[in-house]
Amino acid sequence: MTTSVPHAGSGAPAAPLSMDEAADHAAHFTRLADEIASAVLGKSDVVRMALVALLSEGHILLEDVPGVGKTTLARAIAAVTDGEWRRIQFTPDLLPSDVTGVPVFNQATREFQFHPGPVFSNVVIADEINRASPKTQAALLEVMEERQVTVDGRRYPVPRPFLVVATQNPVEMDGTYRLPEAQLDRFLMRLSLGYPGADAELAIMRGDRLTAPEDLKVVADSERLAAIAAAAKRVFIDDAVYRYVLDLAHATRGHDEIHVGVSPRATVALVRALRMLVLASGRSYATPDDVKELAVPAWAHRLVLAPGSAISGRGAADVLRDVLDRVPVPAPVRHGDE
Amino acid sequence: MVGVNRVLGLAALIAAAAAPGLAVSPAYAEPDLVAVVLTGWAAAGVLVTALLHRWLSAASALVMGLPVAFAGVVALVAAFPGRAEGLWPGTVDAVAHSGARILTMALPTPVAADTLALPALAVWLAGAAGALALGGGAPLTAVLGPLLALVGAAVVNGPEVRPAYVPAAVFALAAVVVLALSADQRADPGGAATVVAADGGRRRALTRALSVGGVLALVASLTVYLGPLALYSSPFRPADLRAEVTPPEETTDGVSPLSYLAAWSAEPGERLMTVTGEEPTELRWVTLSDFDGITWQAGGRYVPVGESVPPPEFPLPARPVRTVDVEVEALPGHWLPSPGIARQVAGAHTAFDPASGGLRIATGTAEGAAYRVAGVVPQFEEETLTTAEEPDREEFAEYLELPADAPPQIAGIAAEVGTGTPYQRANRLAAHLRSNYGFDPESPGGHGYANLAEFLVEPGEQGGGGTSEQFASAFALLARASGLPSRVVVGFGPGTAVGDGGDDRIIRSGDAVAWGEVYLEGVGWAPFDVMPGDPKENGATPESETGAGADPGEAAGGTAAEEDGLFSPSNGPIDVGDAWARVGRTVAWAVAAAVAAALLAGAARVVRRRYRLAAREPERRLHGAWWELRDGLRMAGAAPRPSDTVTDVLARSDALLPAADGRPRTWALGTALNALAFMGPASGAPRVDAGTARAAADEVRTYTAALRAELPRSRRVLWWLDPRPLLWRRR
Repeated sequence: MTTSVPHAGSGAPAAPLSMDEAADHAAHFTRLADEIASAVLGKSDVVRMALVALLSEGHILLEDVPGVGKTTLARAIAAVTDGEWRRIQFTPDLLPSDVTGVPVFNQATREFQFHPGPVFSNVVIADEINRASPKTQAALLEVMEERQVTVDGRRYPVPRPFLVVATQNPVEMDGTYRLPEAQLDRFLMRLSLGYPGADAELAIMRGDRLTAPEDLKVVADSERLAAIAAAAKRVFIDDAVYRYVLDLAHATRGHDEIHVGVSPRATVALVRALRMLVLASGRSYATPDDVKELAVPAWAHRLVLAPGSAISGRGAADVLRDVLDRVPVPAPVRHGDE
Repeated sequence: MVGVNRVLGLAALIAAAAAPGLAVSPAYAEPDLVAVVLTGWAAAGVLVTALLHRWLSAASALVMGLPVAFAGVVALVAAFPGRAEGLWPGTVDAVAHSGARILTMALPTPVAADTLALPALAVWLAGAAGALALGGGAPLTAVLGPLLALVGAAVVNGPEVRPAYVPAAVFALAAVVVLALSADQRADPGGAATVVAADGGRRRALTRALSVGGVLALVASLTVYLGPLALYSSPFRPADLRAEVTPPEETTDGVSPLSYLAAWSAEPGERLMTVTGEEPTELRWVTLSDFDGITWQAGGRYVPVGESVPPPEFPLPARPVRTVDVEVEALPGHWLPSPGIARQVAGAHTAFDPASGGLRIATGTAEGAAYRVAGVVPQFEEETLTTAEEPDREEFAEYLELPADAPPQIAGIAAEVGTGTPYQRANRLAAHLRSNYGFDPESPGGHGYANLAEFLVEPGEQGGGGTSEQFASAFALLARASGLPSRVVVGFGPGTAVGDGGDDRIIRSGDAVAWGEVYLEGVGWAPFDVMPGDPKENGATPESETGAGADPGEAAGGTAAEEDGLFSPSNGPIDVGDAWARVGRTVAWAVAAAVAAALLAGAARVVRRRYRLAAREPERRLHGAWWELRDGLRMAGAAPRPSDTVTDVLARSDALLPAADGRPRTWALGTALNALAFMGPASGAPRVDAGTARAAADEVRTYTAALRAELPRSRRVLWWLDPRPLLWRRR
């Protein structure tokens, strides 16, 4: 299944999104999220964020201990969007061609024929990505960025929508190859499912309210997804909100506890996800609240902490929350009092 | 910013170092001049040292500043020459002796290099040390020097000088500024929040300025208001350092001035001095109060004085004042004549005895002295004199002392005086002497018991003539014998005018005269005319004009006229009860003002709330609701942070006061406000409709009322009276 998503700026300036349109798209988004949530119990926030990432053409890094439902999430996303899903278990001996596919000599045609690898599907689960060699990691990351595989000078585009859900085990780091910062920057969001709540876990054990991913209904086809993505591009973002994103970025760059702040690519990525998040909320305009909601998932993994604060045990998310608490938001009342 | 702080710090340090100078200045004859000079020294000390410290180490800067200070002393000597002649001797004298001079000179201290050098050098050193300590980042040490100097100034001032509350307040303010500035520098964090500070920084600076100003006002008012009370409600009084110091005594030449009278009477033509004054004036020369049976001696404890002469220890009216220029040609001893009791002297270094009112040249002899002197010649009223009481005998024991072996006539005459007020008794004595004894310019000198025994012959017998020497001595001793404190004064008549119309008068030996004085309670020392009949060729007697009853018509000044507030009686410069009343009034005014301000603020806030929540335009009403909610949260102690979005603020409101059902409220305000602010130009529909605005205003009104009801009673009362929300800045 290959669907092209229209790009922003590829035509006349889009008309502003009306509230009715926004509500319409949000309804579809909510149905998608609800359907997935019936397979991934008690994690509606993460499901929403994952969908936002999918629809804004981003990739997700899931950092979690094994067994909390990473694969289920990915399979559910694939199922409700009528997509294929593949899973690649990353190991130290995994070769790049095991990911991208190999050209095989066809005796009949006497030509090399490309055998697509597992990346040629709509949702790719790259399990324990940090266990593979950097070369293999780089192959996957190239596909993520380029959305195509180049073999022997020929380009093979991957299907759309294309979502890579890479997982990392944050606990067990022996014998792993840490993802370099530049490659972390390629992920739109880093999410964490975490353990389910008590009610959800009971339900999972009983299995009564739980739907298996393969039983999920297809809620939106690729056209609908493309329509949602196109609508997101027409979301209005006030200059004050842009300015607020910039202030936050500047604050991370000048912060004592942060060695390397967020890059311009990160601000662009945040705004891209912001549009989809706003649309998912059924609104036609972004507010500072949306920025605050997205900042940690979209930025925390891109920050390099200063050595001191890394030792003190504070994570990038904690530092980023400090920044959010310090930077003034744009005032809702612009022209003073009375 | 650091530069501004540095300049401010140095300025505050200068003020702190100048405070001791301001504290000592009231002790000087020209307080304003001294205050300016010493402030200049403080500024020079701070600035010169700070400048030198840029290139030199701290110790070197301090030492290298000293030549500058020394040059300053030289300049002082040039501007206000002291007792020593010449620039270099004067400088050495000023540096070496200024401390002693300050303490031994009578108040007010004259403005001269030898009285200014010590305070000047002290403020210089205080300022210099302070500047170095401030440069080294030790603000507490920086204000230590000025503080020590201030304490020194207070000690030197003693109880006589106006207490230095205002300089103390100046010092306290300056110290607060110095400490606050350096604390500020230290607390300055290392440049976080670069984007954020653009607007917030200025506001913080304003807030800080306001709070610093408040602290300063508080410190100043506490020092000025409560300082005196704290001091004078306690039995503590500052010690008088001057009382502990014995001024340098100049020995007398041993000859009683009274003894010259006989010789002068025999040779009346000898020129003694020239006196220039607007009108002829009698002069007072020496007051003699110690009689040893043979001679009257002038005792007294002379204190060096500047131009201003301190008041004597006995009552003296403020006027009439006579001013004369005196050129002494041939007076023995070191006493200087003055019209009445001297109050101001110029042109000679003099010393004054507050007990007797005598004036003396400070060093050397009176011969050749040329000076201008203004003195008070008291005028008396008959009525006051007649009713005056006898003074306390204990206090005046010195003036009642009668050596043994008095000739029997003295006791005899004294016994005949009978009873009456002191004035009547003294008058009878004077009358007795006047009518029973004759003037004899040829009579031999001497005024001891032996001479008086010859002088006081029985009425009708031969002899018994004498000069004013014997008359005055006899009168004083008779008065003492009858229980009246008395003493002898030697002086001069007005002399003879030179030429015609000129103001110059020559005083010759024949003008010398002695008279007796009796102390009358509440009046002071009253002179009595004891010379018989018309004065003969030796000229007028002072008693004829100033003597008792001679001139009763002249208005008598009240005794012990009030000084101009410079010096206060030593029993306490302030009335403690009055001061407490003043504090009470101030507090009452402050409370009244606070209440009025609170009521005004309450009215303003109620009006504003109406204006905000009932605005007709939906947009304004929505904004008004937003501000009311924020103000309410802030009043309840949960002020929204700058980083709080509308949703955050509403969530905070819910957390502070959960709704009845425990669930978050559905705020119409939140959605409407966000849409208003961030929706952009699109969508056709009105950005906010009147219904939403009314709903938002209503929910805020309900919420703030509920919030207020949750508060403790005291804060509920103050909710509407608190003026702070009127000053909270909107953002």
